[in-house]
Amino acid sequence: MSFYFRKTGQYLLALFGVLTLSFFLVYKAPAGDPTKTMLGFQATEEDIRSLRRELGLDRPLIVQYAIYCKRLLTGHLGRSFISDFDIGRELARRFPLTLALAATATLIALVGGVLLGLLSVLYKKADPLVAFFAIGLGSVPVFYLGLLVVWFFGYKLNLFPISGYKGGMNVLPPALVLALHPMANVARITAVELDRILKQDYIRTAYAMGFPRRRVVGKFALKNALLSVVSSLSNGFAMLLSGTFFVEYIFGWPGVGLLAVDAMLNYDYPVIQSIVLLTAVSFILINLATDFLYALVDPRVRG
Amino acid sequence: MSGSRSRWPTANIGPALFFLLLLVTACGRQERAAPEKVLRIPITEAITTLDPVKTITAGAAQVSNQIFDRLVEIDDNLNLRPAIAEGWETPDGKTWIFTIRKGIRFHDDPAFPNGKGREVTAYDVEYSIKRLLDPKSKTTVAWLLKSYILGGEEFSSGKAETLKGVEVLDERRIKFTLTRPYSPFPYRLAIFAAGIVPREAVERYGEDFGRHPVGTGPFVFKRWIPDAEIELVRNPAYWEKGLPKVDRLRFVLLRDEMVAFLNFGKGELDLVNVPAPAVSSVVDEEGKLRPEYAKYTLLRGMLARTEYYAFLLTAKPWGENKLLRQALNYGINREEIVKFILKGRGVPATQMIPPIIWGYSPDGGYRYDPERAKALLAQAGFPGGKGLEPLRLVVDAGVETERVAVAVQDQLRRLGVNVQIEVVQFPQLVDLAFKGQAPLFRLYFSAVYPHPENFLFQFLEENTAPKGNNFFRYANPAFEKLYFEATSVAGREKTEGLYRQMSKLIIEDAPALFLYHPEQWVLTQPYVKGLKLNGLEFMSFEKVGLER
Repeated sequence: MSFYFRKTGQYLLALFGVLTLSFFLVYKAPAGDPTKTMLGFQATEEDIRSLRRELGLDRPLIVQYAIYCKRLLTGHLGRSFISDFDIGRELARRFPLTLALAATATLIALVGGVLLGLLSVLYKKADPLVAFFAIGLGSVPVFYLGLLVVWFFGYKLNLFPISGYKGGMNVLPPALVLALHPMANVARITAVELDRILKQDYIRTAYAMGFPRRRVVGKFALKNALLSVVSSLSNGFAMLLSGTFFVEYIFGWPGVGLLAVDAMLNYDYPVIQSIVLLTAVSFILINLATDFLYALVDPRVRG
Repeated sequence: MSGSRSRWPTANIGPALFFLLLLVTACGRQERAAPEKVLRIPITEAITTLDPVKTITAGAAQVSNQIFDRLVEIDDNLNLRPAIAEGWETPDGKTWIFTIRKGIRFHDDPAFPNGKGREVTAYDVEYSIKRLLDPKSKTTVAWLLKSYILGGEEFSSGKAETLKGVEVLDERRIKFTLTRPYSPFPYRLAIFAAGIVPREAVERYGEDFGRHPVGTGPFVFKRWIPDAEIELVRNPAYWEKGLPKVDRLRFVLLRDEMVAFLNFGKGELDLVNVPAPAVSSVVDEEGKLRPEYAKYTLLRGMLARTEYYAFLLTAKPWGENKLLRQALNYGINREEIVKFILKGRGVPATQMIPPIIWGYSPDGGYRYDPERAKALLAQAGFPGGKGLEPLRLVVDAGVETERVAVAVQDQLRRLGVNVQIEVVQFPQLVDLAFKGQAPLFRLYFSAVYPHPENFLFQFLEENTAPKGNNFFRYANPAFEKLYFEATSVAGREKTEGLYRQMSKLIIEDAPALFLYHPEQWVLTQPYVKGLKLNGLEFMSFEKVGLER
């Protein structure tokens, strides 16, 4: 039991570190002050001063930090500086959409990546092709790839509407773009793991017993390879959750990433901090779940 | 044998035919009822509220402008036109009495008794203006009115409960008292934030009024799917008879301008801004539409906006030597910048006031003249740029701003003047402008209202930064005298000469390196008729029709 408490305590500490760091880093951004973007060139110094007072920005940083912590402890994320919405409510509305996008992308990455990995191991001839796909497509920046997908599949081939979000039906195009990086990763891990496992004794035994190659690879080896794939994906999923900015921007997907882009462009501190916090919490929850699962499966970890 | 293989089943054709007939007549009936006319417009900016007092981005203004009316508005030719007010009078430029038009009704909404929108009175105008100046509204544009309306400063800082300068005379008339005679005053009432709102709806929806706007404009708010679309429907009771012409406006909320452009190409949008990367594929070198775009209509309109580099007049030697600043102004080849960097989407700026705003002086201003530039440089005491320290130019990050800076650097090098470019983020630029920490920095001025005074008031000494936005730290008693004379007299005929004189003083003193006025390019589908660009960054849609 103490293992679970210790782990949870460690993660809580990490969470506190993240929120403290994010608070001070955001405030220390170069000339980062939302009042400048809010008021622009046409306001007077007096306007800026009163807006800063209104937003509480005129107080000492440490006092602002204390207020921020107190607000968090009472379960409030606060309101946006720029457009005054309730951040908690806004995130609650947007997070499921980002979750859906990231989950779909993870699924695509898993299935596609494993298939590609298998392909490259089973048919050595396909290897360069798979490598090209995995490394090539996986290295194209997402914002560029996104536009390319919109242009080619949405505009030229007219396969899907490109007018952005329409009630959750077109999650596939953005999820596909988002999935390419992790898919390349999964393909690589699958191939490497399979290669490693195929050199082991029990595989030789399986061959000796007369099982066909396809069966040996597909059943005995793949099962074991999948373990590392899945554990790498749990991290990948967390990365996806926080990495949807560009894809959401290009496809107009109204998730957390889109909100993050706006918040960062406008120096909307409370929104930026809340999103960092949300991301940290999801990372930690996923890691915690993975740790606990490992501990359940493998008693040695608990020791 | 062949009968059974026939593609046409012989047996059941009777009922099938009957059904077909039904279908055809049903379709026919539907067609006879005129199909709904929907105008689909992209917005490529985040919209979080449609509350007029909080509408600061062009995208939100574009939508809220269709829902709300102001006392007075700006027409397609940038003139003031009566709206909620049918007329106004001023005996001395200090007292302004507006008469409210009869029969204007708010949109129907559950906020009203029986859900029926009631008639607008002078009390609504009072309520809306007070709300704009109320510190609780957290508006960022109160500065446009608060120092002009008597008691505005006290009211907007929360020191006074009442707003002295606004007084309802009767249901149809409202009186504004100003702190001093100020003839452009009605223009300031034409800003979006001064939209007339009903107290009932503001109180009913509270913080959510911005997501549930109720106004008097040509279109009525219908629904808003966040980050997807905002739909407005025709206001059948709109005070201008016969308008609007379309039944529905659908604002499609996207982010990426290129994505919007592709959407337009697919026919899913009726109009679109031409984004910078698409310009050369839309028009050829001469600015004509290329064949694949020839079926569309391209609307081009100069914006009431001036891009320039501001000199810090307290910095040496540039600040104290006006010949030097003039020399640089003659040394800039603006045509080249417009042609190669803006790809034709702009007009060289010879002075602060754009040509579409009255008060512009057609015979004055700076045009590229390298010989004159060299002569002035020598006259200023720096022949061939000898003895000049490199000039530090600060611009904010952006593809266009950085390219223009490099072009200017290159052009001035030909005069012998070295420019060092420093790129910062926009908020840093604003910060630096307020603190006066760079000898030359990028600025722009976009008209809030289309009046020469809007472009010139930044040169008043009382507006010197950091208190105001005279970032140049410009001070000229002759200019001040003209300014106060012009703003205390009403009427374009009487004041245009004065504004031109002011404009000439600014040209002569050259507190800025004038660059260009950008153009707005909008492509529309061929069946969109009656759309006009007016030089401000928003469009009105009530006169737009669809003729398929």
